[in-house]
Order: sequence, then C-alpha cells, then structure tokens
Amino acid sequence: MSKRRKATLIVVCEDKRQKTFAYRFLLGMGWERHQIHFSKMSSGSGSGAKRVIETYPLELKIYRSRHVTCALVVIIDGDERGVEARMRQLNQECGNFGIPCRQKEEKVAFIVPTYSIETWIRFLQGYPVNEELNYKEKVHDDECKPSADRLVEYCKSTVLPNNAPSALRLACDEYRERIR
Amino acid sequence: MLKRLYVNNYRCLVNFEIGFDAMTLLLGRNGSGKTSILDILHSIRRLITGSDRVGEVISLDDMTVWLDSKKQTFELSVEGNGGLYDYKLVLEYNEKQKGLQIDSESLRCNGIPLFDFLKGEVDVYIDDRSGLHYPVDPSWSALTITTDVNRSGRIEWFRKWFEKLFVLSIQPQNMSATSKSESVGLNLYGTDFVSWYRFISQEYQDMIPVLFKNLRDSIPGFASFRLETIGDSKKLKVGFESEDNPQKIQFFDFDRISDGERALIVLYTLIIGLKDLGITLVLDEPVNFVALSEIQPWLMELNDACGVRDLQDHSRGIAQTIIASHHPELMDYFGIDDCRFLDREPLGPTRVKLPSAELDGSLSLSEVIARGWEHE
Repeated sequence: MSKRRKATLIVVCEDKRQKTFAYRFLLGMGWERHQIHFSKMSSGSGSGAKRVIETYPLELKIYRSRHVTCALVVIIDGDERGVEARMRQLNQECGNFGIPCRQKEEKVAFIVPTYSIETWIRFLQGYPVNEELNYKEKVHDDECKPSADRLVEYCKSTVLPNNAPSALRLACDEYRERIR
Repeated sequence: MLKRLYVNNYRCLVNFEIGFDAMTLLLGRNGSGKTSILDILHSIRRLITGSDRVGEVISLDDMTVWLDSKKQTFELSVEGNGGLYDYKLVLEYNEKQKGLQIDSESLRCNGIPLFDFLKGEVDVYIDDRSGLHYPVDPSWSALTITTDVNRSGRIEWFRKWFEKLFVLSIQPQNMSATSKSESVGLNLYGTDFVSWYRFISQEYQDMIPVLFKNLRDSIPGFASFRLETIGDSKKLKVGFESEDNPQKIQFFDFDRISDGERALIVLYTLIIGLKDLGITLVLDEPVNFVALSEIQPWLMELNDACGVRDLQDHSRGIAQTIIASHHPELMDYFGIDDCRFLDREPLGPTRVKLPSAELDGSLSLSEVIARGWEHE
C-alpha cells in the first residue's frame, strides 16, 4: 500500500475567495492536494479578519506541537489598517493567548492582501490598483482562479511587475522566505 | 448554470423559490424538502431528455396534499450560452385521461420567446415572431422534439444543458462491475458508472491520467483501471499495487472493492466531467461513504472546477454543484454564504430561511446547526 498522505501545510483564511485563490496558487507552486488543509472556520457572517486573528494562536500552538514538518499560512485582508498593523495584531493575539509570537525560523507566513484579496485579483487581471480602495464589488468569483494562475507565473519567474501592490511584494517575500 | 428554481404544488414545495450559485449547499432538517428539490430536477430532466412521458416521471401523489389545485408549475432559470434561459412548465391533471399532461411549456432567452407549447400546439419563434406551428402530444415535453428554426441553436443548447444535468444519490453497494454499452450520463444512483466511464474514457482520453493521479492520491495503492471484454460486455477492473513491489499490479472487479473506494472513484470522475463537460451536478449526501480526511481534498478540487466560464466557447455550460447534505465537514467548508437553509413547519410548505444574524462566529456552522440555533 502506498503511504497515506498527510496535511503538511495548514492555511487559515477569512473566506471562500481567499480559499479559492490560495488553493489554486499553492497547487501551482507544486504543493500536492493532500498536503494542503484549510483550518475549519467558525460560523459568523461578520468579520472574517476577527475570526482569523482568533484562530491563529490556536493553529500556531498546534504547529509547534507537531513532530512532522508542517507549515502555517495565515491570510488576512489588510483593509484600512494595512500590512504592518495586521501583523502586529496577529502577534499581539499570541500574547493574549499566552504563547510567544512567531519566531524567525518558524515556517509561519502572514499573507496580508491590502486592501483585500480583490485588490490582487484586479491587479493580476491587468488593472492599475490603489491599496486604499475596496474592489470587493468589482470582482467576480470566477476571476479568482485565473488570477492565482497569473501569480504563479510571476512567482516562478521571480519577477513581479513594477506596479505590483506593495502588499503582494511582501507576501511573495514571506512565502519565499518562510514556506519555500 | 442553474440560477433559480420555482416550484408550486409539488409535495411540500408550494410557491417555492430558490437561487443557486456555482457551489451551493442545501441544509435543513429531515423532511424540510431537500430531497423534493433533487427529485423534481431529476424528473424534469427525464421528461426533457426524452426518455419518459409526464405520467411516468410525476404522479398525482406528488401534488401537495393540502392544495385543491390540479395544476403544478415549475420554472428554471439557466445561465449560459451568452444568455439567461427561462423555462416554464405547467402540468395539469386530465380527468378524462386520469393522468397528468402538459398544460403549457415555454422557453425564453433574455426575455425573447423561443417556443411556446399550449394545449397541445407548439409555436416556434423566429426573431420574436411565430415562425412554425404544429401539434404535439401533451403527455410529452415539446422540448424533446422542438428544434430551432434559425441558426441560433438556443433550443438545442438548452436541451443539451439538461443532458448535462446530473442528479445523483450515490449508492456504491449497488454498482455493477459490468456494462453492455457506453452511456453519456449516470442514473440516479450511479449504479451504471461503468457504462459512463466507458464513455468518458473514449471521449476524454486526455483526462484519464489526471483522474488516475487524483485517485492515486486518495485511494491507497490505486494504480489504474482495466476494461476487460466478457462476451458482449465490458468489466471494469481496478488495479492496486503494493508498496514493496510497485511493478506488480493486482486487479479486482469494480464491485469487489470497498463502498468508500467506489464512491471516491465516482466523485473524482464527476470532477473530470465538470471540467470537461461543464455539467451541473446535483448530489444527495455525496460523502456518506468517504473517509473524513478525503472530504476536504475532494471539495477543494470540486470548488476549483466549479464556476469556470469558457471565454472562448460560450456554448460550454458553467460547471456547477448543488449538494444536499447533513455532513458537518460540508457545512463548515461551505460556510453561511453558500448555504441555503430550508425550513418547514409540520404539514406546512418549505421556505428558504435566512440564518440568524446573531451567528457571532464563536461556534462552527455545524455546531450551530447541531444545537438547532441557526434560526434563533
């Protein structure tokens, strides 16, 4: 019998669009289907960001307790706060939870699309974007997958266009340095 | 892609309307009407694809018991082929014939009439005007024999969409390993899977390596399929390899492997169908036989296949999946936005009810439903 596949990349994200985008991107970057597992989210119809922030320390604790090599990817929209503020929030939540925040050597990446994942989707479709504007209503669900495929192409060529949103550059660095 | 369904006077569905997305999960307690939705879609499919008369797919017993009316109305709105198609079917009980027949049937595209069938007479339209007129037996759907009188191909496209509507309640324990001929679709229980696989393996040969890869990831030891000729039939054999000696493949009859393995084989083959045929899948409790660790990988593949439009070929349908399930893993995967909550008072009609605005995110959706708090 072949070895059973185990999830080795845990993803915490806000909503279905982020999930669809992330899955397609990770497959494109060479992850196997069974290696990727999306953490179960709670039911609220309210702030997805709040739920990610609350789930993160739990998943970080589990990540640290695992003997097998695992990685943790946290996806949270920057909204009007921006990348740095979101990262601070995630680190602060670890303090509230009573565990140390992520360490340099840990395979834990913060991906913070700003303003939101729709900003990246729109950019990857070739439109100029402003990270302070909300494009949620301008993006359709079926634009998620081709945009993720485009990002895979950029990441594989290691060159993002000059006008790429700064949060996307930071996310690519996070992924490269922390995960692969 | 099926966008909307309206039903009146069918079991517990009275003046009932529901909308669908590329992926939709139907939730509701036992008896809330989920199966009735699946059954009516299956019945209309049988009627339109031409295999059955009205009286063979819907019976008088299917009328709502507390209504006096002897008319039933069904409406479907389907998006695709560059438009929104609105199909309406009204059935009426005929006292003389002692059975149901078609009172009226019509198809519109973006509001423009394509054909009308009223009291046994069909009108097919050309550019909004009646272009062809002929009688049809009202015990059959006129859509089965009506064709476009211009080159738009819209009526034909709509009929083909129904051929690609798969309504399934997978019963792996009843699946046969043998098949006498190819089949372009699956029956309600998927028991003719081998016939459909024969079609897929002929028409979509390039997708078979992808299917095998998915199955190798999901079924420990899976190696490949083999179709063996036995008289005038084919028997599907499933090959397994041992980890110690991957060169040595042992083949088993399809009906000798486990129920869960058979279910996974059907579920992953359906994704191939979604990707290549642009079908709409309507599944009743699809993961009943599937191991917990296999559900999310299948759902992610399913999600990846759904909602994709072929920008080069608009005639290809938009792949879509509608699932009815009580499984907590599915509830938590879909989340509130993609769920439709069906609710019904005892002996009352089914309604789509919005979940409580007070779901604050402290519990998973499945836990909220397990506690019966979704409408509090």
